[in-house]
Amino acid sequence: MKELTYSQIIAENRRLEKLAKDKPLRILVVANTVVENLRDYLEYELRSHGMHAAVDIAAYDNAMQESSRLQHDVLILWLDTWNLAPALHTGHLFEDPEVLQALEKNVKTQINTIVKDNEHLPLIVINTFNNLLDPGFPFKKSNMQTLAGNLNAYLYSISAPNVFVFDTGHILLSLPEKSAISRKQFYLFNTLYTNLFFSRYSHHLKFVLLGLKGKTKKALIMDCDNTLWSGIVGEDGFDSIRMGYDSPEGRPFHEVQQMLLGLARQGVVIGICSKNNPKDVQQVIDHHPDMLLGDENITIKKVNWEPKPHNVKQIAKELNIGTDSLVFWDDNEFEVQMMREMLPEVLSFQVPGKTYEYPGVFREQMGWFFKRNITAEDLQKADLYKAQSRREKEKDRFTDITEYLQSLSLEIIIEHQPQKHLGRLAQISQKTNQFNLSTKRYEVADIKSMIADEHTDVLPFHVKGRFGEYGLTGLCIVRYDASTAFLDTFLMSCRVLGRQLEQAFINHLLARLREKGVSRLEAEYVPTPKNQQVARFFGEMGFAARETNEGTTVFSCQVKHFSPASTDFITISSSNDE
Amino acid sequence: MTNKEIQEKVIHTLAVIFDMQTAKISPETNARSLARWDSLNQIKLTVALEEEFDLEFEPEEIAAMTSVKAIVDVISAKMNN
Repeated sequence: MKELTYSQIIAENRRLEKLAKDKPLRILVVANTVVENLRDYLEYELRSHGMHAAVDIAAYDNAMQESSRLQHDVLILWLDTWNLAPALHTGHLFEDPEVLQALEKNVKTQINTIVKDNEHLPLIVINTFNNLLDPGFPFKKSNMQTLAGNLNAYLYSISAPNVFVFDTGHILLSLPEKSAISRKQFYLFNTLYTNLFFSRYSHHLKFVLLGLKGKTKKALIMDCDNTLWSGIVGEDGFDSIRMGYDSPEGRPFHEVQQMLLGLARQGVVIGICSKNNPKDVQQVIDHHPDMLLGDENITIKKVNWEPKPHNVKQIAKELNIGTDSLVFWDDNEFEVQMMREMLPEVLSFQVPGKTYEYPGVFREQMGWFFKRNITAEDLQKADLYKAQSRREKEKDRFTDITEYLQSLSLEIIIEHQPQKHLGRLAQISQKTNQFNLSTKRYEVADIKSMIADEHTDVLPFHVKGRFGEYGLTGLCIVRYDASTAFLDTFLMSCRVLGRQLEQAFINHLLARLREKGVSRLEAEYVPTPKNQQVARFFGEMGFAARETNEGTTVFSCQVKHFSPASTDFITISSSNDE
Repeated sequence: MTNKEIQEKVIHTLAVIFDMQTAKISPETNARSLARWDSLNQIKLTVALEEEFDLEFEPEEIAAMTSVKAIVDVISAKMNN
């Protein structure tokens, strides 16, 4: 099948969305890294296989905040080890083993809380923690690897029946590093993974999602010559065909037969469809020493000289299943093409010409038979788990977001020497879109002159927490006119949103204004397509709103009467307090 | 490839990524005037352009690619090297 380019996938996605009639499967991806392009690949993988899906990407690095009691069908929890704490992969946190242990426990508690909060979801997919950006050394495991290992052991111990663990290492092993991740994108945009990675990820994930709707396959129809064994039995003869582990030509076919056996044991129907003399094929099945599949595994056989689409239709009929639940493998391009033309709903694959690639290619498509295996034992395990979790609930679960935020020991440090950070201040004023009151874009010179102005306070702030520093991520510029203060600028980087820091800062600002004898605070909100959350924030804080003729909204409050909700779990200090 | 051909292809790619009609995009279209041309879409755009033109941008080039004209300049300089 032809690979589409990224633009073609985006365009195709829009076309398929318009065609879709049924309700989409709603998928939410909650990630601590930028995975925006995953949306396009995942929607495409599903839509192009007849499943309407709508993928949302939650706010960046807000796993706890974005995952409570979801209305989606599927939650994908994509947590990268390197960003479990700010700049974790740079190693700073690993000097203190206690902090590290606390972080491990904190992440486990987050995951546990998210899983418990979403017991009602049909499916939660959690990615394994990988070692990207700090793979250690051949003779020394890195601390990040140890952390990832411990967290993975925890993931695999979760027995909630709706939780599936996605081993990202499977993809990382199958691709060269340069194809899987892009350091360039990482430094530029904080997005580590390539489109190829997202495409591979979506390829594998689709099987589980299609399985949710019963859209996986039921039967596997195999050709014989050069598909189950190497060589042509009718021409080369019984003794010349190869499918043994000890022959170079035979080994790939041995591996494929092993996989077929495994599928048969899981209840997948295996059939053969071959243009041959039935006697020749039967002799191989009965007597060839290297033939792994036997009549006990092969449910149905069509060995004749009829066109294959005709045979395959017959197979579906006899098995009483739809042709759309069949997968077909053949080494002959002509046969595969004919099947695709005549029965496009049958998923048809051609054995690669380079047979050493055959087992790998075959394995990639085994997901089509993915089954959500909920056995009686699993259910029992789930009950046990539930009982156990009830006992441990109190200590392993955050009761609400406030408790989670408390666990982070967040601190705002107001920078009292803004002149030392001119470049950074101009940069955040130009780049910040989401939490930005006025979206005024400033150059270094503008910032400089406001710092010099005695009627203006330029108040940048740093944010840090128990697990690391987020850096200079907020800026507030206040202008004073008699007894009124005007918020010229109030912005925060999206890295630190969702943590009630904005509220803590405004509470602090109001206390300052009170001390200064200011009676009124005004903030003019200039709407953009991105910054609605600022308006919501001032509304929730209890500011009065007044619309202006220019389409802006002036939020105001009387400093004296303002009684804010407490944010005392966030400490505020000034950089010159030290 | 002539500059005109490059420009056509760039505009086509932009139209797909931003879900716009090509007629609404000119060489002057830029990140400041177009709200949806934000940093997330900048990632998509550069990845798509790298693929369409089969080349790789340097970080400085990506930083400079903030208008259709600037993108065409970057690509044409790379292709003529």
